[in-house]
Amino acid sequence: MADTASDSPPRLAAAASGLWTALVVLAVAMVLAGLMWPSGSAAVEVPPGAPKRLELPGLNTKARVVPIRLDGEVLDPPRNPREIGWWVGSAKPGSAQGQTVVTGHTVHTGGGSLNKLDHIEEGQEVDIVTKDGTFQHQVDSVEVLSRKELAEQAQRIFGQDHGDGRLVVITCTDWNGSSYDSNIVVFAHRFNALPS
Amino acid sequence: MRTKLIARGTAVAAAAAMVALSAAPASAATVSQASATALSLELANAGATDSGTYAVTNDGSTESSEGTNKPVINLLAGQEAIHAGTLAQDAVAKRNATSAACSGLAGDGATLVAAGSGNCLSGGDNIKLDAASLDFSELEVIQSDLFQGMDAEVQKALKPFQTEITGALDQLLAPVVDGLDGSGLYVDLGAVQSHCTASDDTARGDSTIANSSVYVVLPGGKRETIVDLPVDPSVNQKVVTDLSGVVDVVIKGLRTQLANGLGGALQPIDPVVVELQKQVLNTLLTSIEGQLAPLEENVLDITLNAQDTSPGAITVTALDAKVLPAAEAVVGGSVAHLTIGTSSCGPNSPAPKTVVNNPPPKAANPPATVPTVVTAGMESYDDGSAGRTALVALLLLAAAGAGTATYLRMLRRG
Repeated sequence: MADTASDSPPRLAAAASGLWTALVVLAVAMVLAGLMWPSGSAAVEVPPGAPKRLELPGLNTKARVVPIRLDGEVLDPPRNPREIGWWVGSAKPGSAQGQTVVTGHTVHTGGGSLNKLDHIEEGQEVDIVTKDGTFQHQVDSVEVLSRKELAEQAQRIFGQDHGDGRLVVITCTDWNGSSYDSNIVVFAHRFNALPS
Repeated sequence: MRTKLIARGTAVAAAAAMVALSAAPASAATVSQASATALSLELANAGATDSGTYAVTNDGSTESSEGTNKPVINLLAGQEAIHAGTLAQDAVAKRNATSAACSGLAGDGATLVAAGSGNCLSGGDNIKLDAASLDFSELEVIQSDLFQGMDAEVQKALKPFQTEITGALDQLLAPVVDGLDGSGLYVDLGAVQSHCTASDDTARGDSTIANSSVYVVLPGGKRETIVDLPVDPSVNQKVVTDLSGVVDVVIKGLRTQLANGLGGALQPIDPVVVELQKQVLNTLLTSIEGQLAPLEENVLDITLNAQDTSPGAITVTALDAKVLPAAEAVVGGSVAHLTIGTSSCGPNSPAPKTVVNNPPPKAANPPATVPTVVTAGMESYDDGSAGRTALVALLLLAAAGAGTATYLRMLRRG
């Protein structure tokens, strides 16, 4: 018994070392296997690309997408209210990182590309079409934010250091008789990519 | 001790493997890229063919390429639209994060110029591209409702002779419609080409289209030009190709045939021929005009100098033409979709200068500029005319005010 007790610390150290070695070998093996194992989705891979069209099937809305840039810290959609603007500082649709930000006008008298966005619901589909295919997204959440709230949460909504390639669609809402008080922000995750 | 050594050795090996794996993509990064496709043809009911794409990339040290930059037109399989000419597609990608491409089509005798100098082709003859045939086989000259809409008395008088009348009209007019076979839609092309360049942050491109037009050849060989294509088209310039001239020729032919032949062909029902001539002509021609209506719309969707841009990248297509769905009933034949001269440049990025395995801590990076205001609401939208009207009104008001002030000042002085 006494011998057994005195041998315990070396045995424990050896066991720990053995476990450590096994874990390292397993990690390396998994990395190599991940690199070599054929991926089932490779055949339908659609590369990230500039968006051409936004489609909201549930709202019966389709609009051409054109690139837009920031003016200071103001994101202004295209002058033509029937078009959608893709902020070129955001991720291209299909990207694995960042978030794709698109915005379009709500026109009080009608005719804006995103006039119906306030009717969108969680779970509905939002598609972005590029020259190589269509990225399908599903709405995760819809938020109505005042101008102040939007400014305070700008990094969360527009920042490119997070998002995993999700889609952010934004327009104005809450018409007060002379202007809009709030923004409606729709977040959607990508669930499929269809090659064209 | 030995176990510890093995464990440490394995750990070091694993770490080295991880570093090697993480460093691999960085060393293979694309510094510059460009590609060019001279011609692509989508054929009606016969698949598609193209000249292939010549694509180049540069990883910062060497340029590598795929495809051929010496395409040959007679290798375009399975198509009858185009038989001769010179294809060009060339691209370069340099270590300094710049790239260029050019592509296009010209007639025989054109001289090829390497990418990076703007256009790819100079000189050469024009070539004829057999774009489509005009299909009148579905045209129903005599329809079952030919007699509807006529006066009741005329209908009553015609009733015993309806079969004879429709038969006679069909016999009379069939040669006119049959004679339309062989009408065709052609594109006469000089040098049609696009080119582009890209650096690490900008990309630009343009197209030129020399001496080109779209025309119809009618039965008898008469050539009718539908549109002359502009030499230096603006970006995404649309071209309208309505064939109303062809409809006019068809209607004129039928009208002449009816006017000349109706009396003789319908001799047995002579008492009603005069009234019949008056009424049947309008009914019949209205029906035919209705069937030919798609020809009076835009039949080909042609975009010149089509440009597709994204930050630091551009794709320019000199000519993109396809038969519109509305016209498919009367426009058949070889080409469903044609693109000539597609050149792509970028996006490019200089070789990374930072050490990949030792990135600066995130906290040290200033936050990137993001929007804090989104002005995505409008009260109403107009094309600017309301603003111009208001401006004119303001100017008039100001002028009136100034005039009144001057007037009052003059009164006071006087």
